[in-house]
Amino acid sequence: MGCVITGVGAVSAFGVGMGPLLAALAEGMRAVGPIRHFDVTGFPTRVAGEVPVLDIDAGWLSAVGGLPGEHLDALAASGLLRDRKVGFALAAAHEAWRAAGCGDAEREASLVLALGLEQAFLEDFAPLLTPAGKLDFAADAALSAPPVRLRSRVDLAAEWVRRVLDLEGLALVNVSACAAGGLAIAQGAALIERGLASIVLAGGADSMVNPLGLGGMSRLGAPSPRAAPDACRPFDRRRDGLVIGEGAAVFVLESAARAQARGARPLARVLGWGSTQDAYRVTAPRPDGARARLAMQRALTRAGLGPEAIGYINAHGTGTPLNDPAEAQAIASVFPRGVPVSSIKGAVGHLMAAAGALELAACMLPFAEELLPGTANHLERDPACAIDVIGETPRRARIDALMSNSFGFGGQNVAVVLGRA
Amino acid sequence: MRLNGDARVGVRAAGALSRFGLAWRGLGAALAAGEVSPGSGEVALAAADDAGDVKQRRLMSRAARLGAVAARLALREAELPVGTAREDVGTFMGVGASGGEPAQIEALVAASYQDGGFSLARCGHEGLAAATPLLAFQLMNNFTLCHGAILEGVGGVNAALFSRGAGTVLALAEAMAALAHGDCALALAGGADSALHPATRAELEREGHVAGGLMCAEGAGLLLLGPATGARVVIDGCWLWPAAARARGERDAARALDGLGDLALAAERDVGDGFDVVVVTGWGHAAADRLLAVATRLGRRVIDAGAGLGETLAAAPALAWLVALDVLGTTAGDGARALVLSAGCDGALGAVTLQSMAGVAGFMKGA
Repeated sequence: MGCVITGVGAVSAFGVGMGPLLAALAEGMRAVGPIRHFDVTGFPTRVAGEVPVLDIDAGWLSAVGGLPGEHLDALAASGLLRDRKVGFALAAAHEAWRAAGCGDAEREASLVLALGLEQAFLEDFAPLLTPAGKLDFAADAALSAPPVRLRSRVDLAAEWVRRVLDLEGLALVNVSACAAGGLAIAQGAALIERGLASIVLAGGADSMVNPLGLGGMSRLGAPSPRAAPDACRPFDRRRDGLVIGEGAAVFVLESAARAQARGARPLARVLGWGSTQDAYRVTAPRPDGARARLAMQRALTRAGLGPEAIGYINAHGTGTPLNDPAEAQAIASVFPRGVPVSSIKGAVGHLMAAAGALELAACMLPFAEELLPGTANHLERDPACAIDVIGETPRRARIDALMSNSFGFGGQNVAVVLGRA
Repeated sequence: MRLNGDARVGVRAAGALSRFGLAWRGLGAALAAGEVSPGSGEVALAAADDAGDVKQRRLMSRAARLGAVAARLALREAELPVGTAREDVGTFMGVGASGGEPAQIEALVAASYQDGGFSLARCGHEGLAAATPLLAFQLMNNFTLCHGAILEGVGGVNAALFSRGAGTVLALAEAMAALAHGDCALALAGGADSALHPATRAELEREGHVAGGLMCAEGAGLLLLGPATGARVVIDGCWLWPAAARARGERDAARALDGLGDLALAAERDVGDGFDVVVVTGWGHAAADRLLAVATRLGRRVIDAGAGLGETLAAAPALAWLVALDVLGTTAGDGARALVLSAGCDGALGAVTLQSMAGVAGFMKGA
């Protein structure tokens, strides 16, 4: 029994929908730019792969997500759209659902969603400050309506996707940081493999383009210090950090038998996956990439493929000084004969919990257009990253299988293998 | 829905932290006797027992500290040496919300305050400067899993699932599947969380759970699972009944409670009866009462773990499994069976069945 992808939805810095994402990647475009939806004047980081919408409200969801009107009032009243990833998740899930031709007969679907942190609304905390500079969490301002206050809840996006699509199956919320998106697709496929579901909505949504998310990452020193559109330069000799992105990607996964029975057209197959942990340091990946390598090898084993069968790797490729050489070393050791590699993070930023999902969505380009996405801002080869990095221009190639890597803060690693349908 | 198919796993060791201390042995007896430890629901963590060193702890949320200690306890109990034996141990945990130190948020917000309100401009400069540069590490909830893995050298297949009940049961199912598939030979499974974080407590109050009798607490529970063959105690069933999509959401405590009654009846139909002990954990008196009503029909002896341990959110189901493990290991005979019913404030209901195996000498030493 195989697992196939029959629908994909995406929200990215290129806009809402798979169409804008794949068209922009096919053109070698990038969408990183100044943050617009809140005032970043005082912040050390001022660029991001920001989704081009200032305020997410019921009107936006109606216009771009095509969501049923009956839910919009409840959504608006809940206040949860303050957390941008909720809107992104809903828009991407709805696009995937429609693209796969799903309806009432598919409501038994399970949901596996990778989500980032709850969003803290720092402005809500200010009224809790006492004259002594302490936060009084027992104050009315903390305990009274509206229900979404101080911070959103991690699983709100999953709850509302379930509610809007009226799904009846299991709901898993994977919070494995930057590995979560890839793990969510793997877990969704595993539910099908284990016979626990015949159809699963799986993907990820995240936004850390908010004061605490952006500020917290800046304090860590993870983002590039340059407030420029080319701030993220994966595998480039001049790379100096990541760029935060936001958005979502959601897939309809189903058993090949189910897809065939209902006449759904497979877009790709989920062939295998593997995960490991670095178990190394909180603040850095293993320099030798040994555990990342093992995740890739396990994904190949599960897929029943040798390295020569993989025609393209969508790398984690954060553009940080430490990640890229470690990942390059891991790739080189698993694929000694070489394989084309690219990272889309220079174009759309690092979507954190949703990164793996959006990057797997980008992996539809090779199957749909026979184009391997390029690596925005990769201009100077780094001897420490001795792999075949595709430059800014997409490369034409027909491939039958590919791999996508995601490595999380904290050391969680996952590799997912997709095959041509 | 039964999540584990025919897969069975053996329990090799366990680690627990609760308001009763840093041990899982004795929890069953204490709770069966109706004991409730004095004081708050806080885990008393002596310096000698704490996770990592001072520098490492600055990177940790409270839940991460509890989770790391639980991992150490379980691996130590299994006498699994540091090194290659641990490299491919899997880890599957239910984890809760972010748990940045309130003092850090206070410093950030206070320094961002200007002219009677919150100033974004000040936040970006003075506010961020007032907080530790490592704040983001405290906030990332996957670190509840990762700190333990790093400190203990655990590097296998893994997943951190958000949990207010159901996620922890799903984490166990994922661990059982990973073992059955051969992705790892051993796996840690459970959860760690703190409902004592003031932002979490405020959230639970706003949603009406505290008014429903929820007693905020903290804890961690991890099982080290391996092959069923030769194990003294096996887990042979794992079920989850998700809350109806429309019965969840903010301020839905009352509706979730109504739904729980239906789910408990479904559990009664699916898991069988005749259990030697049934352990229940609900998110408050009303939820527990609904589970207890079913539990008394399914087993000869019933223990309300939540009443004694308090609501530990992502940790609650795991701690209840350990209560059952303790009862099977200390008071029940060979072949005894235990059922754990766990209802989180997400409205879902989980069920896990454990059985002590006849003819295996030494509690959890035979695997």
